[in-house]
Amino acid sequence: MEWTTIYVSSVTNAMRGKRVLEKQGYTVHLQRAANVTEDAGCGYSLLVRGSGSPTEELRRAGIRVLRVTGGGAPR
Amino acid sequence: MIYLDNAATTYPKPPSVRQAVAEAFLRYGANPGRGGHAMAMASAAQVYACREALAEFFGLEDPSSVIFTANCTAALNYVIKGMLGHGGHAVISSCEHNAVIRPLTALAERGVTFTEAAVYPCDQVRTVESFRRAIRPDTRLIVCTHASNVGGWRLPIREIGALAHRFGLPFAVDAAQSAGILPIHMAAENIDFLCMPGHKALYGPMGTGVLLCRGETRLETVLGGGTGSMSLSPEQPSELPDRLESGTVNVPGICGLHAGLRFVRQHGREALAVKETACMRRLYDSVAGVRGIRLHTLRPDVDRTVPLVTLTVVGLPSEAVAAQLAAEGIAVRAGLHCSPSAHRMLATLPQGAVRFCPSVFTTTVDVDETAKNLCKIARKALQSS
Repeated sequence: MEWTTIYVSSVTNAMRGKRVLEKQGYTVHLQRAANVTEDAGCGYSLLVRGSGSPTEELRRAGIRVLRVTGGGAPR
Repeated sequence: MIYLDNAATTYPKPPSVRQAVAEAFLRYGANPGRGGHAMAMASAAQVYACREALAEFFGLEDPSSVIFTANCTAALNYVIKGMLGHGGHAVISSCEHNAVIRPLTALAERGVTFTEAAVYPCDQVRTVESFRRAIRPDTRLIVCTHASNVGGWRLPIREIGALAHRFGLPFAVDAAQSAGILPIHMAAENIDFLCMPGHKALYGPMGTGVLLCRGETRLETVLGGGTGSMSLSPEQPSELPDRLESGTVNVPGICGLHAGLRFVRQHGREALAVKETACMRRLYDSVAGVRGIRLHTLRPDVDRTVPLVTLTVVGLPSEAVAAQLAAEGIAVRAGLHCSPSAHRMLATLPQGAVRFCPSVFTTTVDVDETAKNLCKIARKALQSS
């Protein structure tokens, strides 16, 4: 199963997002965003693996998703 | 030393709190929310775990809305200045601490006004009605203490919060004397902003405070700066906690605060309240009726007050009483307790009064020794008058 990288704005959102997704059965790694991105500047990302729509889960929990990319692996 | 100045800050702190602070220096020495290396992430996880614990304890759904501040005063400033920076009217109680009075007074130059609603200790209906009468068309905020730091009586915050919401107003509570000792559930009690110290009945270190935000009301920022997030934008992030939490947070303090909260949960908040109230009732009953001692608080009662006793000794300034107690190794606080409004209610201005407040570590022996010394001081004062 592929990893998905979900960029969020802050470490708090990342921590909260990790909790939300893990409760739904996803495997989640939290890491610093690999690049300073245009939309965020510094930020954090969630590397997620599992079936379903993790971005939807995050949005439902009120966590703003900045960007989603496919691929990647835990560093 | 017999320490009965716990309304100012609790002492001693539980061993688990001291250990958590020391451990934080060793294991969580990196800045949370800045770097991506292991220690920065571990540090951020500790901070987040404390947010989660506080949110759960105080009935707040979203841990992101837990803001760490330096103390309760800072939290109150964030709310008052964040709500009224562009003017408006606030309703407060007649027994507020200067942490509420002074920020509001400072905002007068921006056109802010406020009305003190009379508090009638133990009469909820009259108290709520006086809040209702104080609301005006330009009212933007109701803010009040949960329990007076001088009189010990509780305000009916649930009812005041319901009143605020009926008028479409946000409701802020100063929980300086109640967080950790009285039950507080933000949703159930209609609280939008809950301000508290971490270092009193939550047993955290000094230099810790918390602001919990609920609902849609957005506070204007008092502080702006680096948050480790959205760094390309010159504007403060809109999301909590970053919107209100610029600069590096007090990680050792937060770890200590989390340990303090765990300590409270282990002992049981209600059990702590019962024990401490019993201590203060013992002191109250020991000096009630003693010639020369005037009690200014209600008899401590777990349903009506927070556990504290305030008194004066006839013929002696309150500071002189505190100094005589200090000479016997008993630490209390005299004077106005940063709350001249409450002392006005008690008619103890300008000398103030002497306040006694226990913690979980206070023993009946401590209380009896204090009562004995108070009786001796009162007797001497009468003899020399």
